[in-house]
Amino acid sequence: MASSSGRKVQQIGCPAHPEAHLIEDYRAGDQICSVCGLVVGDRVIDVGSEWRTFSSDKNAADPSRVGGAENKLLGSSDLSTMIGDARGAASFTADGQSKYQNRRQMSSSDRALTNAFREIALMADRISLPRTIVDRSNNLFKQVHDGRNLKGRSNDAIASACLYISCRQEGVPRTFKEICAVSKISKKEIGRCFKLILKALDTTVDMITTGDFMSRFCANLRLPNYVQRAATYIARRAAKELDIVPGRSPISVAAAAIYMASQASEDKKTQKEIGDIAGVADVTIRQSYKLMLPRAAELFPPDFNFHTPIEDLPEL
Amino acid sequence: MSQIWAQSAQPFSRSGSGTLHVRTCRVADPASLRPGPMALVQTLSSAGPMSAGGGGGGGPSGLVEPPLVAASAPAAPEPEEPVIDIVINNVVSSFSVSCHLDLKHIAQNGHNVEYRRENGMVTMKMRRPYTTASMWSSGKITCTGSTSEAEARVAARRVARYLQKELSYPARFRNFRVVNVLGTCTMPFSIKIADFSQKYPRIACYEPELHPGVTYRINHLKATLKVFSTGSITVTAPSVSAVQQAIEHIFPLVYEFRKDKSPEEAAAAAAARARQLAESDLELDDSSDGSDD
Repeated sequence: MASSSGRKVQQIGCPAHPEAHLIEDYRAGDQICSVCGLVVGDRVIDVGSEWRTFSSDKNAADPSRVGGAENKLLGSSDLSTMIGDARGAASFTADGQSKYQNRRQMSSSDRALTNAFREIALMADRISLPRTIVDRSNNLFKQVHDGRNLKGRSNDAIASACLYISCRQEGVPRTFKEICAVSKISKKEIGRCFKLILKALDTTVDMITTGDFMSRFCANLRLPNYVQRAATYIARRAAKELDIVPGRSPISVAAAAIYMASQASEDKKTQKEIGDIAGVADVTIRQSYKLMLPRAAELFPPDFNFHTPIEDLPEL
Repeated sequence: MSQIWAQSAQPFSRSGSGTLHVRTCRVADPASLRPGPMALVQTLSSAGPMSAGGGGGGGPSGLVEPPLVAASAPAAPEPEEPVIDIVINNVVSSFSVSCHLDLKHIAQNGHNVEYRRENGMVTMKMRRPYTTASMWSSGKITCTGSTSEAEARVAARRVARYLQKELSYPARFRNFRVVNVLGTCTMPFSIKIADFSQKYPRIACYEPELHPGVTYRINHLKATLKVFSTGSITVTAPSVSAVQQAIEHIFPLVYEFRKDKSPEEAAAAAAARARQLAESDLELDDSSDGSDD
């Protein structure tokens, strides 16, 4: 019926219309002639899914899948079969050793990438970064790795720098010190890798502004919303509009602005507390604060209600 | 001396039109510029063991007179010309004595040397000119700390001569070249570095968390400039003329982002400089008194 030995003919055809195109109906497993509607094939294997999944729970394993999703970054060379971890009684011999021991055959470039991705995911998890930043970071790392300009540098350093850059690119920058806190690389090395990566990928990043850090710092200090808004306003006026604090890092200016705003409100924070949260030394806050204090009247927002008036703000 | 400072403190707005012509850039011998810190070191060290009292580290130590950077005719003749003085702080040079050096022997028999085994080099400090020479066993020597190209050459020859005479090596003075020159200069105005770095995103790198200055690289001169918000600029370049060209290149770019000092700030800066002058005068008087014995 189907194919005779040797000669290649169209496998199945409608007897009445041999040249007619066959429509395949997967549900029923039929092949139907498009002209007369005769069902000519049968028991075509159904390629639909075996299970019907109703739950949208991402974490539960999807029974329709035979394996995990392919990670596009890891290179499409790896279509080999990997023997999974030993589970169940049958995978152990009588002595208690696992039967299949050799599980090491992943390509070496993939291994470096996988390690780095795992590091990035770990670091991001420590500071609760969203999935988008992690994905962007992975992409950056893959680009840097393929470009091979930073080959000599430690992969962890490059991973930390990629994480820093992706936070910046997403518009939610983290300070170098915050990245240092979750990574074992020094700030100097991360800074060096950061500059090298920007040069290698030929990109630029926007400059950090004082407002980028306000919500995080104020939330960690548990300051009320109106203080946070006031501090944002003060920092923006000091740094951008009036330019009272030339040459000071925006983080220091932000910390000093938070100090000023909190001292004028009910919930007063000390310089040390703010310095701990922001990663700034309290003498640095003092220096910026001293520069800002003479023009405090211009810095505060017009609708701020002062618990402590401007004249009584501390001199330190 | 105060005259130079006064000139530098004049605002540039007298130019009339918005553009600025770099009138004169004089590369000054720091010895003639008394307030400079390098000059202090030089005069102190020269006034020490050498009995020749007074005056900087020797007259002919490289007062470079580069050609005047010609300006087109100004709109009106100006009473004082704005002068930017570039102070050369450090000249690094490298040469070879083309013979193998026994570092241990030098360390044991040489004067003013120290041997660091982990780096594999011998450091020798010379008093006049005040320089440090690092020698490797291959015979290559790096000389740092001089304040002009000519002085660097003198120091290098002195090192080679010392090796030849005192330690009787078959030393020859070969392949002398200046590797790096560090110069600093101060603009008479403050600079808005945030806007400056945003205008030149690829060439200028400003990361306030990492360094308070903007790093500006000029590729065709192979120079790296660090621009600070106070108006100071430091330049590292392969030669003194490159330093000067770099300053001339950056001046109009930086002039665009100048921030004229408010009266209080200008007064504060002038007071700080006057204090510095007074201190350096005091110290120089002391040292010259000592050497007059």
